[in-house]
Formats: sequence, C-alpha cells, structure tokens
Amino acid sequence: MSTDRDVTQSVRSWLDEGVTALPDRVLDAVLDRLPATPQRRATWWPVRRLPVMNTTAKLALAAAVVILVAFLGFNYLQGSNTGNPGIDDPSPTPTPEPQALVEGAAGPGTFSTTPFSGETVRFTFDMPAGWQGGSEWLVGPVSTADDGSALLFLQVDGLYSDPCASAGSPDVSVGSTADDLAAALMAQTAYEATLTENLAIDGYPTTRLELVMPSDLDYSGCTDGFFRVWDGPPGSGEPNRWYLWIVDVEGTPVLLVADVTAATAQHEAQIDEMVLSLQIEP
Amino acid sequence: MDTDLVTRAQHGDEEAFASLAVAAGDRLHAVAHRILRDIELAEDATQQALLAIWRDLPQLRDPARFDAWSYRLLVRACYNEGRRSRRWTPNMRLLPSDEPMQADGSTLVVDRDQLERGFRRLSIDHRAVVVLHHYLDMPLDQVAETLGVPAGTVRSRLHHAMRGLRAALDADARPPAREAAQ
Repeated sequence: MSTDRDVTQSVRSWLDEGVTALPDRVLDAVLDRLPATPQRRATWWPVRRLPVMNTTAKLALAAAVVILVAFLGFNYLQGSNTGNPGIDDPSPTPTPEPQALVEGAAGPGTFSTTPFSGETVRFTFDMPAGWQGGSEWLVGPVSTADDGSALLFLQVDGLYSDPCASAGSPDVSVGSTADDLAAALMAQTAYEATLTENLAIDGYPTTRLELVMPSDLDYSGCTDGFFRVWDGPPGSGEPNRWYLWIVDVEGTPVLLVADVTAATAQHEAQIDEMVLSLQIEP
Repeated sequence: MDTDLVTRAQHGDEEAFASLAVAAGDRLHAVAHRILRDIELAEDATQQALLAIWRDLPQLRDPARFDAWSYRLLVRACYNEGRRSRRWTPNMRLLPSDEPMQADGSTLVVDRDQLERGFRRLSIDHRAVVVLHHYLDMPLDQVAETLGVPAGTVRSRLHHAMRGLRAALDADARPPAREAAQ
C-alpha cells in the first residue's frame, strides 16, 4: 500500500510532466480581440462628490437653468413654425458596433464572431437578454439550469455511420456542398431526420432539418456514453432534439445547430430570432 | 509581475496587456492543461481567461495581486470548459506522451496511467486544489483565497482528492484476485 508521502511524490512528479508553453496562435487570437472587448470599469472607484454650494450659487444656478429652458423652448417653437431644424429633428442614429462573441458576452446586443479557425466567415447576430456567449462558436442561456438549450456554429467534416460507436474518425463523407451535407444527414438511419424548411438566411440558401435521437437506446453502451452524429459537439447522452440550419455560403457549407433538448417555447423562439437575424460575411 | 504593466493595462493600454499576456500565458496554460487534462480544452480555457483578465482588469484593486487574481479567473474558465466538455465534447484525449519514457521503470508508466485515470474521476473543484497546491506549491490558505472558498473546504477537497489518487495507485498495485489466492 502506498504511503501518503509516496502518493504526494508521485502526484507532484506526474504533474511536472507535460506541456507548459501556450501556442502563439492562442495568444494572437486573444490580442486580436482586445479592441472589440471593452474593459469593465471598476465599481469601487470613489464617487466624486459635488462641492457644497452656498445660497447665492444655488440661486445663480437656478436662474441659469430657467434661462436655458426658456431658450430651448423658444428654439423648439421657432423650429416648428418655420420648418427650420429644431432640437427634436431626427438625426441619423449611429449603428452600434457589434461586440465580439466571447465567453460571458451577455445579451441583449449585437454580436459578431468568426468561429472557424483558418476561415474568415463572419457572423453578426442579435442576442436577446438572458443569453450569453459560451465561446466564439457557442451561445447559451445564462442560467446553467437550462443546459440542453444552445446555438452552435459548426463545420462538419464527416458523419459516423453508427453514432454510438465514435471512437475513431467519422466514416461517412459529407461531400463538399451544403446539399451534400444535407443529403448525408438525411440518409442516416441511426436517428430520425426531417427536412422541415428551405429558406434563405441573409440571402444565402439554407436547409433546415430536425434531428431526433433514438429514445430506446442504452446510451451507456456508446463510446464515452455519448451518441455523436459527427466528430464534435453536441454529443448526446440522452434522447436529444436538435434543429440544424445548413447554410450555403458561396459554396461552403456552414452548419448552425440548435440543441433544443431542454429548450422552452420561448428559448426556441429566441433561437429562431437569432438565426434569422444573422448577417453573414464570407 | 511588473505592477507598472498591470496598472497601464488597467487603463486600457493594449501593449502593456500584451506584455502581461506573454509573461503570464505559459503559466496559465500549464495550470489549465493540468486541471483539464486536454490540450484543446486548456487552450480554450487559457484564451477565455486572458480575455476575462483584460475585461475585468480595471476591477483589480491591488496590482501586486495580479498573479493570484489571474489564477482565479483561469480556474473559473476551467470550470466552464470542463462543464461544457461533459456535454458537448466528451472525448477527452489522453495527454500525448511526449515525455521520454523512463528507462528503468515500467512502474512509473503504470503510475502515470493510474494517476491519469484517478485524476479524471475528480471534479474540477478537486483537481484545481491539487494542481494549485502540488504543482504551483501554493500554501493552502492561498489556494483558498485564490478559489474564493474557506480554507477548511480546501483542506477537505485536497484530502478527498489525494485519497482518490491513492486508491487509483493502490488498485494497480493490488494483485489480481486469482494470483492473491494462490
């Protein structure tokens, strides 16, 4: 039997092994995102106090306010009578710059992301309140109790003919086009696939599918306990339900996956709104 | 850590932050890698942590505490990656055995495998305590401060984690039942 000292020594020497250097590409990715990642100002900074005013100063300030209000009111009336520009004339509202989709980026707001390494496809979309970024390719509800409700940006290189046996590489080709990918997903018999709609997202042809994983399968017998349609997230440990949008972005298939296993009707509606708000820059 | 760099980065100086990130990136990645036991997850966690450091840096009151504070954000990022991996990326890969094999000992290799299995059974909470204490040599009260939990909780987590790892090692040392009966 090992003594405590043996175990501690073994653990310490084992922890000393392995990589330590952070790849430059990771560091570069962080530095690239700084301009789009606003810093959160400290809330503990002391609040600046206004100096205490004497009575004369208060009267002077009140008079100044009255004069200013009168001036603005006069200007407004003049503007409405003559057609000259008044202070309420509409002026172009500046469009806010989208924020970078990173972990913790919280809605509501407009966010953009380039989720695929080595590719420049950029997605911009409106994220509602109650949702947040999980990474540059993942959006989910803020509450972790809602696990099983998420929107993912993916690219898929192949499918598993048996999603329950996913130890190796995917063995089913998905071709090179969006139509090929849709056909490959529809041809699988390990789960139920339904083509629900053909539509356009930001003008790009899109096929919408619904996948329902089998309910009569013992998932504990699958590789790692997961049922995996392709090599990558999401993986299913229970009968899951996913919506897929396969977007043909100038010949390149892009996959949007909504895990709606635990989604409420409101979540589903919000996912639809996010997808339909997408602006795609190839 | 250069506190002047920290202060400049707190005021939005991206170059100062780049220097900080270069200096801190390797140690953060090393810790993430040891907690998560997966290279890609560790890279993602480190990236998320560095962005969180940039975002929240103005809220750090004492620049001299940058190192400990950055570990707290890193461990938080590891929780997130670990939680996500359970659902979406269940295929945790074993670490590549790029270390030279010990010429004298299959025992060390066996220990390594057993420790790997035992460690993977631990929660991220328990792994973080083991790594901060036994890899970074952080005293337990500092581990508690870094993780934002009471010192008693840290001691309890370390105790249970080490007991689990010891059981993993002893399980391998135990002879098979038939052998033991002879």
